[in-house]
Amino acid sequence: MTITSLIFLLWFLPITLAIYYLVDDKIKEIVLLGISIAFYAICSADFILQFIIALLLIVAIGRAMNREENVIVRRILLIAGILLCIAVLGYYKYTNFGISIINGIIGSNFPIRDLAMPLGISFFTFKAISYLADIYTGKIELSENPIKDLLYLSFFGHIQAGPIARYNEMRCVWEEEAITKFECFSSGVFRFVLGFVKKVMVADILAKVVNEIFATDFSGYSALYAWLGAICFSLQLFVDFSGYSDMAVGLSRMFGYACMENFDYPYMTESVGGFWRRWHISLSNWFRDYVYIPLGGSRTDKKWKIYFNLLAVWVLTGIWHGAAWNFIIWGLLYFVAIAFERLTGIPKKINSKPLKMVYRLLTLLFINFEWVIFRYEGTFGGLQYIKRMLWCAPNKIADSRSLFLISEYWIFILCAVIMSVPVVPFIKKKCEKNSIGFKLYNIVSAVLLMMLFVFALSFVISGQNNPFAYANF
Amino acid sequence: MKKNIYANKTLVTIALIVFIIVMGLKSGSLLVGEKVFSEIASGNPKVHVIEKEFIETVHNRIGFLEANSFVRSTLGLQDYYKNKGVYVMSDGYIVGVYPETSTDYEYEQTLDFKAFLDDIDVNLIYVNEPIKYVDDSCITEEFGMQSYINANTDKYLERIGEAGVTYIDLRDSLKDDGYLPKELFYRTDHHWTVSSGKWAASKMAGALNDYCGYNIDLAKFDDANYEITEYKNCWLGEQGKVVGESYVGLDDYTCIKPAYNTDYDIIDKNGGIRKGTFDDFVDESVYNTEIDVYNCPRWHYSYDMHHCINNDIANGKVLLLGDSYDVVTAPFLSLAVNEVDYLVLREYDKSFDLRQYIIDGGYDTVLVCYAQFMIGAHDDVDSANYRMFDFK
Repeated sequence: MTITSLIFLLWFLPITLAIYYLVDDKIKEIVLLGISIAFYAICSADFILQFIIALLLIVAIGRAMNREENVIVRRILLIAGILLCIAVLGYYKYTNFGISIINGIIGSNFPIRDLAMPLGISFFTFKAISYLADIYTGKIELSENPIKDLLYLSFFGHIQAGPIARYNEMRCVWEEEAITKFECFSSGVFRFVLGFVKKVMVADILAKVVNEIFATDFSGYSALYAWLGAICFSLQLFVDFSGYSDMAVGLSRMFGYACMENFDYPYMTESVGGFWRRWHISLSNWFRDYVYIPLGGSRTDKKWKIYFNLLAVWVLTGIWHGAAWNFIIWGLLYFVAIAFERLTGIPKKINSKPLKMVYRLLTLLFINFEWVIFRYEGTFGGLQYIKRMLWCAPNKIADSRSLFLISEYWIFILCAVIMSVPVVPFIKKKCEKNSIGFKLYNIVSAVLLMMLFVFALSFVISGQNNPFAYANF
Repeated sequence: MKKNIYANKTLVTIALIVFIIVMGLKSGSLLVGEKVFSEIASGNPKVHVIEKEFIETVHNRIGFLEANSFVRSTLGLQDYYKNKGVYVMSDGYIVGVYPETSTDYEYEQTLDFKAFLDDIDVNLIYVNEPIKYVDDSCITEEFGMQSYINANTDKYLERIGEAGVTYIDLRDSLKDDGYLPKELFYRTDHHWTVSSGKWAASKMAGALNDYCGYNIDLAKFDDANYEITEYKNCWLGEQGKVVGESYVGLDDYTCIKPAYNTDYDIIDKNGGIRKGTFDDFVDESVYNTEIDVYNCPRWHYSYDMHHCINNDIANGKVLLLGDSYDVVTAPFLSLAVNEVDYLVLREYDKSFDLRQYIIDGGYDTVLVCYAQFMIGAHDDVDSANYRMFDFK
């Protein structure tokens, strides 16, 4: 069951919402914790026991650390907790990668293990580490009741693919904002439906183009075919993951909780560094707060140390995304680009507007190449693909299949492009200037969204929806 | 502004709550919980199976499928279902696209089979059954991609021909008779029509005359000898169910039965024999236009004949190794031959000894009648047709 599946939409979500709103406010947290455990049991039944044990252990360590005043004991507890998290993640996610490296180096023949991954293990691990680290540094103040801790770690709306929210961000909207329960709920519903439509009606359809092109032997590609695959993947990944994040924000608000934004129109970025302040923001923040700054960050006299810290962050970012060399290369290339921007001061030092625009385009090009490396399995497959994008024989510039795919899927590519730029907020702002325009905007957007929801549902019923691209990490 | 009664969020929320409640209740979603938790309690949960079943039974499923079909039709998505091997041509015909194959496996198996049949003095004719296009370039023109099915077939037939295997290529017969390939097929199904089955049977009978010393009166296949019942816009083929009626429309159907009396001994799979007529090969209860086109039985399979003896014909004992095309071919061939035994090899596992079966059956001729996409099916271990050329 995923959050775009029919049994989630027609069974799990309405029933759990009904129970949640019917029970007394005092026990809502407990009920939501039960719902989250049930969700995990349904989605990843083989690992439910391990999940509960991990939850209890982490909260027990966190609570013990919170009570403890002896610094050494606190540090031991922190290290033990983090090691526990990393050991579990390492076992499930990196064992086979390790075996393949060992086999490659010493020529051994250790068998690759058939290891299934527990649901959302990478996201869970990072939340757990942030929970422990924040207790250690005193950034968070735990309440008396450990239920909130358990709920923070297990909330079903975030477990599959984030955002990697912080403990302090898990706050009840009704209690802290001047907003009614219904207003909070309806803003969540709107966001959830928007994400659902983005995922099912745009990302999943673009996946048709991407899956075909990336499954084709690229020796037969035309340059246009390669470009089409690369651009569609860049758009698909954004719409897919931001669609999921919209649904996660929506689910949080439906249950009365705030949720951080994970995307801020990343393809509008002016630099590579800026891209990561707009893309998967919760992950970037996590690496900044729990790797980069603890290593010393930028506040060091030794310049090489800054770059070493950056290198560590980007190697780890690559490894976090997947246990394969292409992810490590992907992370290293981001390190190179960000180090270049830091060293040269580009693009801040560029004053000319046309030059800024050129740099912006180069940035998008770089990000696009990076997604190819990210998507293409195998160590250097992505680089070969990029070579095909940039160089081809004259008779291989375009081919009829590419033209067919463009003519068939152009509307979805266009929709994805529109979603990637702040067109809707611009229109909304314009409409808000007069009351009739605003009423019209509200009605049109509501009717359009509901129609798209029904059509999106028809795609789910026809069995054509895919898992979330980022759920694999 | 925030409390504007037209606030889009409020509208969407109210609409969604009503929608989910109605859909949920009408789809029986309250029962899903019980199934899900009993699956989890069983220790081997298969929630995806429950999910699949739930989709099958969701309220107004056909309405949703049609809405989906309408959207795709409006947007002109011709290869949206390529993952299911379905491509819609601009004239609404649904076709498949097939990869290149060496034909080595099929060639070797066919030659080995021929050597065996030669040893026991049994004739072999390979009958190539066309698909919806006889020129692969139409796929390139329409979808910009390469299909190799006719090229694969040409290669295979040339090789077996050079090796001395007798074959007839119904693509040539099509041209000779002035038919377009699409005229032989349903638009929404990969099978050919009943009329095409009868036409193909006449060509097989011709080949039996030409190559195996039969003396079949080919006039038996003239339309004048048949009762023909036509149903208009009545059924949706297997591929059409994937794409949706709103996109490709419905197909016509023609039921054909001999206009004269027939007398058969019908042999079941256990060897039991009963008396019957041609009417026993046709289940006309399938032709029920009251049932919705998504849930009704497949009309193509209303013909069902496996093994029979035609008591009105004295000669000929044919083993027809065929595929689902021959569901509507074998019955018509049985009108011209004393005994027809029709087997589909994919229905048998490795324990089945075809060669002993042929020896025991005492057939004088084996017809291998395969649709072109059987050539190369062995390249895919997961293909349902993986074993079709395993003549052991």
